Amino acid sequence: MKKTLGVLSLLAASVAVLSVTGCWKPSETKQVFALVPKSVGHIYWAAAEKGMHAAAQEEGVEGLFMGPETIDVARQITIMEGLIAKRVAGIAIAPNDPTAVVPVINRAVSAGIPVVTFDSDAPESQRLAYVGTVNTAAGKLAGETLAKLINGKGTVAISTGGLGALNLNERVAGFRGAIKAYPAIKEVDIQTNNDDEELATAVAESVLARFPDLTAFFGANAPGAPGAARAAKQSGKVGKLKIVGFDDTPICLQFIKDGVVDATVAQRPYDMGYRCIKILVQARKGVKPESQIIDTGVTVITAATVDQFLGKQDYTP
Amino acid sequence: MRAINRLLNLTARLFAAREMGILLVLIVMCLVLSFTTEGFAQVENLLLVARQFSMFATMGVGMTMVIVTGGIDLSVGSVLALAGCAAAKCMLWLGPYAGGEIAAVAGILAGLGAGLVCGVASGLIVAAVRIPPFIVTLGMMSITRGLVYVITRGWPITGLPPAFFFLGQGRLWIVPVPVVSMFIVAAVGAVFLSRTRVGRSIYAVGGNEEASRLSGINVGYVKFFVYSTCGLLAGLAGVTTASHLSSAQPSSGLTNELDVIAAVIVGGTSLMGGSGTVLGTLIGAALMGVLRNGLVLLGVSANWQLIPIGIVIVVAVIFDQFRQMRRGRVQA
Repeated sequence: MKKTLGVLSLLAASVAVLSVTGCWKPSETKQVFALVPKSVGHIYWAAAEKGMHAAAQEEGVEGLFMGPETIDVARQITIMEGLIAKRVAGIAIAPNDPTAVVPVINRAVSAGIPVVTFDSDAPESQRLAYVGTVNTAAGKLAGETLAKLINGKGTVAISTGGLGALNLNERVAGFRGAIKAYPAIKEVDIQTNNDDEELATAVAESVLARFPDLTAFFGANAPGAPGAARAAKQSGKVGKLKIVGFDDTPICLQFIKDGVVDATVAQRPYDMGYRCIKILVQARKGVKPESQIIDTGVTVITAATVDQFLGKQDYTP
Repeated sequence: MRAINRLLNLTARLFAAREMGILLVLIVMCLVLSFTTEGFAQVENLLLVARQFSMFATMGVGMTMVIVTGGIDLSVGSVLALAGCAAAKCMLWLGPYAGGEIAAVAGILAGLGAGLVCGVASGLIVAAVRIPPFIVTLGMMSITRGLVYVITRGWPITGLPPAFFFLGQGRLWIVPVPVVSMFIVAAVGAVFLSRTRVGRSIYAVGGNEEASRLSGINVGYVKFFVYSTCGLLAGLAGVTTASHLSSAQPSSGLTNELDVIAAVIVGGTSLMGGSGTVLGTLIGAALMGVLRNGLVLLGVSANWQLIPIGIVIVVAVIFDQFRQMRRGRVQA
């Protein structure tokens, strides 16, 4: 009986303390702005994180980098819910799925937290703006670059990331639109690498095994081209297999310098992270962004221009 | 008065049992978070945290049974995804022929059925052939995830009937529906494990398989049963998740099996088999959910988060083992 009473009173005390401390508000020193990538662990997001911290420092606020371990939609939503409970001052998110995050983005907006999307959009939500690459145009640029490399003739395989991601699908759509103008180019395969470097390599090796005479590879996300490059080296196809990729990760640039990858369409994740924070801080003060779509632009990097970029990007965390 | 006495006795028995250690860890964690963050101890946040760990707890009930028999089921995350896909495909197929509610119910049944089929397959192989459950369910994990990719070709399945969304997004009063279903599943599971003959034979098989076989327990049936149940509950988690996300995602459930197993082990179930409770698993899942929520509220950068999660798992298990040893219990 005494044991039971002891246990029950411990429980009651805990509940009481919990409810009391719920009313206690510690003074917040700095406003906290959160950046939610698709997943953590890839240097593309590390660049965005760096941009976020730079802008946060300039604005005198705190930047928080918070994302799921894998490109899991449910985990990303869980993190968003935690950020809303934390009552952060603003959120920038790169959604793993454009529609599944709509309810939680709208909840944040209703709770008075401005939200922008970056890198990939969720157009149906109440997000203030999209900060990132205009992906269809970027994909088209990649397609045209590739077509010129193979003289308008040959077979192409595509390596892309999470297939539900809007930005990647827009890139692939843009790419396909561009090569449609070349009837002698045929797309033979599209595979997903789940935004993972190891899988990108394995997938490229399988594709090459299936299509040994493949002319070209298009990597629609950062791991795509390096994966194809490793596969090309493995099967002695360097020079014979043309590779066009996305993003200017140091690995990819090194492959360009070594002549394995032919070109990459570099995005500006550092700019995305930077501008997101700037926009959110302004939104907090009541100033709306100049437009709903903010294009951070792309640069096509080839062997001719790679030296300007090698070692100079903002990828050191 | 007697009813109150009986209630108090029940409470005493429950809380004097093995779960107290882990419950204490959970309470301490909640208290610490209430003091150090302003967002934790709000009703809405706590309800959402409960929803966030509810599916891990639901799958945990099945996993507890499996681990108590001395086995393991690595396929739950992939079965979750497959069930979601099966439900989605069924609803889309029925769409033009039936109303929203009928399609939704049919979809839920299809998803549960898919989970059950996977569990039955695993259960049959484990029961009939002498391959370790680790290998069997590892293979099942791969097969089911592969099926998910074949069915979806990597794309999420959208356009589901709105009637379906109540299961994952609805609320009963203020409580999210997945939380309610978690408690129902946990209650049924707990009563089953402690009060029924099959339930008790699960512990017997896990404690000493040969002895239980000699005392007349159909060991093969018990094993078949636990894996089937685990698959069914993974199916339930799958349709609930798809309902919550308004879509069947091919990446759903990735690495979930690790979280479910962690919840079960942290909850006091021994990997050797023979002991473990549903209540412990519930607390274990709550602990993991609260921890993850706490890390976001404390502003711990994503790059750092996996480390405290791992540390807490190890500390919780050590604390619990220490408590068990002090009370003189035999390590099962």
